[in-house]
Amino acid sequence: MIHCIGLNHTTSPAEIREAVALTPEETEKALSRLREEGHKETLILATCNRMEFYARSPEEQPPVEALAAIFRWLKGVDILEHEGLTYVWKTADTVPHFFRVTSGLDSMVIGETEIAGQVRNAADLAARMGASGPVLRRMVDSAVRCSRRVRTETSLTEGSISMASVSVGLAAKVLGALQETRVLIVGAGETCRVAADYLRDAGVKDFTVANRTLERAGVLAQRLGGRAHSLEDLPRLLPEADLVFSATSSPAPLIGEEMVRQAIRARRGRSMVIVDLAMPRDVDPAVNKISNVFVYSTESVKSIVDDNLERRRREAPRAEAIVAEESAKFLDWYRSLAVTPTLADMRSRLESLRHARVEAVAGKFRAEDREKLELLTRSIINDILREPTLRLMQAKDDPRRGPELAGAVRHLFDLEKEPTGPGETDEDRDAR
Amino acid sequence: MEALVSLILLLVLGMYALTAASYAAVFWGRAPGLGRAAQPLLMAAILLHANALMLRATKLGMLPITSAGEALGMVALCLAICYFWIEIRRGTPMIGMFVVAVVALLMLPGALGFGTEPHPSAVLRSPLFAMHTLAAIASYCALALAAVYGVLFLLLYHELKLGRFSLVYHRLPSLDELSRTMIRSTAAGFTLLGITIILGIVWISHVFPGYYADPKVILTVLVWLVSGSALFVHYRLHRGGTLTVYLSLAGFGLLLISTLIPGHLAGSFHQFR
Repeated sequence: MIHCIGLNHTTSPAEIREAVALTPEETEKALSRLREEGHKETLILATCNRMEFYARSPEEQPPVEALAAIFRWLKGVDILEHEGLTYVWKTADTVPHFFRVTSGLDSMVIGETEIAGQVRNAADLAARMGASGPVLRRMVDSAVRCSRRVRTETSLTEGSISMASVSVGLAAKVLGALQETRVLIVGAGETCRVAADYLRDAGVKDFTVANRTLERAGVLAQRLGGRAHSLEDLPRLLPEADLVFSATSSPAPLIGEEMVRQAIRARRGRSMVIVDLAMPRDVDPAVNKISNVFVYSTESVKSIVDDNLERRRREAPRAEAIVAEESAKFLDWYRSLAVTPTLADMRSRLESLRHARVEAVAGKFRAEDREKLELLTRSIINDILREPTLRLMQAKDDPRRGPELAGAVRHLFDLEKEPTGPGETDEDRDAR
Repeated sequence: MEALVSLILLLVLGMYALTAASYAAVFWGRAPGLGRAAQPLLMAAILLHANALMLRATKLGMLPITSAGEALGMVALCLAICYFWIEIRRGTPMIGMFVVAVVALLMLPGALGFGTEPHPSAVLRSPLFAMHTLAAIASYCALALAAVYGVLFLLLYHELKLGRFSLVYHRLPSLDELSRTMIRSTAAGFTLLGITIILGIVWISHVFPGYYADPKVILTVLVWLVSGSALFVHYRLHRGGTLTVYLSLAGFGLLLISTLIPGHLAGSFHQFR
């Protein structure tokens, strides 16, 4: 059985998620402890929007208690108190959920691609801590492959969805490659900092920061390897800028039509992009009337963000179909695991019975008849097993009938709990 | 042989139309299978087109470039090859729909048999004339490419100015790239057209001495001046952007008029025969 116990942005508020959020060190401790407690295959997916625990165990019941104990130990939080905010699922629900999560369909921002890397990192950490196993490893590989299919076969992950990255995209749409672009940042607050980071990632090297207080401009300029100026220098700085990014708290526009007209004249008509993310606006809307000047306000940038999100939502059904197909494939494989070890266990059980009985009566036979006795009893066992083996093998690829028959055989022959399946370690087998 | 060539040219026209439809599928993000077929289809169409023109050249004993339909067909082939090279170099097929649609349109008169010259005059069998027409075809191709990029520039420019972000915004390359390609193509077209005019004048002075008042010649000089003014506005007045594009488009518009109208009225490419 593959279990999932977790909470995410749809089931619980941020404060609960923050209270149970595990740091990488705490995740390592949790994985170690779970392993010590006998959980052979575990995976903890801890992101800012979700805390999910995946475990594979022969038990029918999810290890909620064990997990609750870990959270009490590491975080001093009793997750059992927040029962309504968590979900506890078994294989049939866990697998599609995991594939949806990895493909970005369950993310707060639909289609985000970072999650696949986070899943991969969680699997790597589990492997380092010795908590990894063949089934969860394969589940991770299949889910990551599924996310790749979603990315290449649908537009779910296309189009930027943050204001800063969309602004950078807009600038690139006008100016082309941004490597040689000269950027003037007006303001030194968080919005400007985030936008500057995006611009730097896009290859921009030439930054100038203008701010009301020169000191704050200096801090951001130093971070970007650029120059700092006060706002009074704006008319002088504007002609040198291909891209102006403005987000100050000024109550009146800082950049007017005439200032930009002069700048454009000095620039000999070269295009200029002005992104104004301030509220109220830093740039007079009339500036957009000037030829080769492109002004974008918060509303226009947001309209692209909304449009991209809408396009992603429209793509979701296609992505869901891929997830359904890939998770069904994995489930088929997983269910087929039940048949093979059941056959081995059934044969092993009868063989041990046969062996015990032969040993018990061996003294009543002559030594030279011992071999005949072995052959005879083995052939009886083979005859008994022939039909059940055939029928189980026929049902191996049937996702419903295979586990059904395997379960019946295990029950009738008292073959303990759920098999671990092929790929299990010797240690697993010994433990059973 | 002529019937076979005509049939192949009709087939090529169909292939270009299908290729344009495939590129449209790419542009609209529909039918990915059809989209993947676009580039191979274009290559097949180019090869077949080139073969058809070679067959006609073999039959005529000279390049089939003596009439408006044939010249436009040659321009279409040249444009298709140029676009194929651009797509391979840039790796994006989003312009394909527009360029290949123009290729199909340019091919249309020749493929339907309008403006073709089954028996070209003997005076046209001159190496100087061949150089003149080849330079003309190359310049037409460059100006046609500039026109396509110019139209796309205007579409994107207005989207960006108005803050409307439709498929044009999402699919087209940057304004800067469109502008640069347009200017380069206009510059190439201007240079080649200048060479065409010089070679034409030299050729006329040999074949029809003193005959320079041909409407085609006058309109071509006008095209050359308009294209030159586009470059002047861009490089000397530094008024990059829409004005350059409008001038470049005006040049191409005049070029089409200079090719089709005198030919249609006079029944020949030039008025002299």
